[in-house]
Amino acid sequence: MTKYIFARLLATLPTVLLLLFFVVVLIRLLPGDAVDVLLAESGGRAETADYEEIERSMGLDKSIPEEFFAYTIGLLRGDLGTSLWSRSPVLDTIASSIVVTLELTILSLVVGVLVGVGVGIISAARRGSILDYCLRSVSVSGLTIPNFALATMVIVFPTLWWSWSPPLTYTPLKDGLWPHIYQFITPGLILGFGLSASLMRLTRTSMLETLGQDYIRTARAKGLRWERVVLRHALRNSLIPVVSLLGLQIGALLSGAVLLEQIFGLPGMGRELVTALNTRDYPMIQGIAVVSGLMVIVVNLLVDISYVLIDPRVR
Amino acid sequence: MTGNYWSRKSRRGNSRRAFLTSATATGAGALSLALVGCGDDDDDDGASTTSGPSNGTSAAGAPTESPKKGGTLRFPVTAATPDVWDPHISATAAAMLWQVIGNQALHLSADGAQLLPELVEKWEQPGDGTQITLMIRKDVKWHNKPPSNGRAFTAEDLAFNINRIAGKLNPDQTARFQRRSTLPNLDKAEAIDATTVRVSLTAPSSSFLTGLADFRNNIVPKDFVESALDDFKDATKLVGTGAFTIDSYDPKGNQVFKAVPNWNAPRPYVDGVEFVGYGDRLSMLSAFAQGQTDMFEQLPTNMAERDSLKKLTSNFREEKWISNVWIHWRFNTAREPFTDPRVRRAIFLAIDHKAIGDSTLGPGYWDYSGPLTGYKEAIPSAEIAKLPGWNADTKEADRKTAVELMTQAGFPKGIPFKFLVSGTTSVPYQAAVRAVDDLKKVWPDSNPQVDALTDGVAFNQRNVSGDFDVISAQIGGFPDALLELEAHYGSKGSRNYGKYSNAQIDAAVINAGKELDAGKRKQILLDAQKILIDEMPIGRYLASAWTVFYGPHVKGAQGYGIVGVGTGNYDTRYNLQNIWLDK
Repeated sequence: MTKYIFARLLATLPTVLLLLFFVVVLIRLLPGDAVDVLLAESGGRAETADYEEIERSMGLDKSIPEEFFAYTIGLLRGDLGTSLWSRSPVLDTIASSIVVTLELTILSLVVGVLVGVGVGIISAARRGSILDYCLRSVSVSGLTIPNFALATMVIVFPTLWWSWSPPLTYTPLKDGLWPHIYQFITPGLILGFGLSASLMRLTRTSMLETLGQDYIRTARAKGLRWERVVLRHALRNSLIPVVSLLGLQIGALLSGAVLLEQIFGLPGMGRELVTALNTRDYPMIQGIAVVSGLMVIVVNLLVDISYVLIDPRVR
Repeated sequence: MTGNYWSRKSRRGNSRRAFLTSATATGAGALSLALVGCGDDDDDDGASTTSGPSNGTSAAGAPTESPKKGGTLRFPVTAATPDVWDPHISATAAAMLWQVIGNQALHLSADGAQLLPELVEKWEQPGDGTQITLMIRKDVKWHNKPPSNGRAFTAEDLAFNINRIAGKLNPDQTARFQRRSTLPNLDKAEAIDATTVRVSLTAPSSSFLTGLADFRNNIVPKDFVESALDDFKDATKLVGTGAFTIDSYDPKGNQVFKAVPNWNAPRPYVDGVEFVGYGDRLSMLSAFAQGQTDMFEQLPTNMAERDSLKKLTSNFREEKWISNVWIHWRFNTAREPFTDPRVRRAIFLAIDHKAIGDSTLGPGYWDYSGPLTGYKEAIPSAEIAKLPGWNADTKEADRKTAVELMTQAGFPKGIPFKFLVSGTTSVPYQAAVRAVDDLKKVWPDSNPQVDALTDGVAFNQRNVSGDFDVISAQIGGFPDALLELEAHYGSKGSRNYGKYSNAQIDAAVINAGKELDAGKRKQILLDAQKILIDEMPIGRYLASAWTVFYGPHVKGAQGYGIVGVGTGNYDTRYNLQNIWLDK
């Protein structure tokens, strides 16, 4: 097992380096930089010498290879740089905002897994029934309605009908546990709904395949109850593709969180990222992209490890 | 009740040149989304709508009502963008905050026509106009925060600020001082005694004082800057002279301001102001409709958002007035074939500008604009409305002229080109789409297109580098007509992105700058505008309304917005002085 984990860890190293490379290089290929943003209000023009002086003072005068090298070394020391605008360490900003993002993504993950896997099992077990058709129709809507559209409807219609809406401003934990959790429920449900739809469909397909296996028939022939066959024998063997999808969906969840944090006023990494992009705050964009990328890598590593737990033959 | 700041009893204004006499001043985001088809379709929804600064207090509640003290005015903002809180370096976000906690040296009346005192009580620009004397108020104190600790505002402070705004104190980083162009020809400012500042100019400037009155030119304590106290990083440490001081600042949420106790001018009616941070415009709109905030602003006005609000609630009072945010076509006069004025004029003549205004901003929410927008020196919009290109009634004739001009220029079938725009939901985008349709009607084979960039920074870069054919955009005006003329049409103008160059306009800029007689100065500027109408380097066609929605309990607002976003809002902090909450 240790050898397996070590091998998986080694395999992530090139991914991390590639991630760093893309983050540092691609951001600098965007048109315009922080100096352009700074000068925008005065017409955006400056003498070349002035422009270069501002670039130097903001630390934007390094070449891309220099920047990549310096950033990688800094990262190894745990230094993600300093925001060009707030001039506070990027790590501090991420440390405070990642909590919000994690709260949202974990809640949506729980919703997505419980609903998606649960409904997938029911749908597979009741294959061809009206319930199956209804559940599949609902899951299609989860796949087709974009998060932002759902969020818009969830805000607009209750405002229109009842002069009420889900919380639209952020309540920190110090202002009360329930108000703090309450504000995550709506965005968590919206984000979880999209995830649950794809999980439901895959769970159903995987379950149907497993339920058609000989050993399931054998279990039934031995007189085991249908529920026990489904939950004990079929489900576990259907989980590997579902868990794989879950790992892949973490990236989608983080992307979805960017939009929903914006709409529901949640000060997570997504909102910091949007602000940083609009102001070309390179260190902040890099920091958030690296941390998000590492989160995806770590989750997928955990998924790989979980294969062994689910099916020891993988080892 | 009038919109006075230091005293509600009277206001005193001043011409640019004359020593102050006792002249009395005049009191003066994309949500069409899910709402289409929702709610009550009846537009007569009971919400009251009033217009402009001219309506005074009539719409804000009966003048006979006695203002009530107390309460906090809750104002929605799109959640905090980390910014530099140094008002002389920062973009507009800092000005928003300083409008609440700070003061300017001077400010402009609501119509932009008159200079009014603020921290500077009296001023004179005698003789050849190269020296300006500013006399400050003697009873102004900084907030009781380190390092100023409630000390008196001094002439040293003012001189320091003027030099700093112009970038004179940081010669190696002049470009960072974004408002330096508002203080033309500054040589130096120096305190000659405790209450007097002498400003020396390298050449006469008729726009220096008006530029000083730019709403973003807020005054900061000299000792605060020199002590490098936190380097403007922590908003709660900022020290101003205004009626409010910042109590708390949450970069992830709200900014809370409290009225300064024992302030040296009449205390505002409200105890505090709160900027409530929302993620986007939809959330702000929903919150206002639910009564979670007290007001909601639009600059420029937005018809879809306005209609959406009316679907959501009728429990508000609407005010609107024409701002000096102008919408335009900017031609790249350094790129063929836009070097030819006939091509520029032909394009302008072919487009139906009234239809664009009515369909994007809505009837009554815009006015025509000529080469200068809204200044007392500008050609009045009523006259502009009659001119070819603007006049909708002569559009068919204009289009025939357009074909002739384009043919004379060698393009009988029109020209293929792109409108560069930022965003795909903005008014300039919608305007460009309509313009393309208009141009195709006149020249069916010309193939004009819209090049929409979704990122504002990318747009700015293309704009500044001159990498465009024609830009469709909106922009706020300078506080002074001459500053505006120079910036957009002067050969070296800071906003002359289309690289327009005309010796007559450059001469007009110099001559108007020297001319301290208001009448003669106006004539120079009028003549320049006539040249620009013929030359058409920028096809300015309309000025947008500024719309504010107030909750029914908000009284005393003078018809001006609260937050100093853009321009045309020169009485922001005076509004805060007058608003009261009838809760």
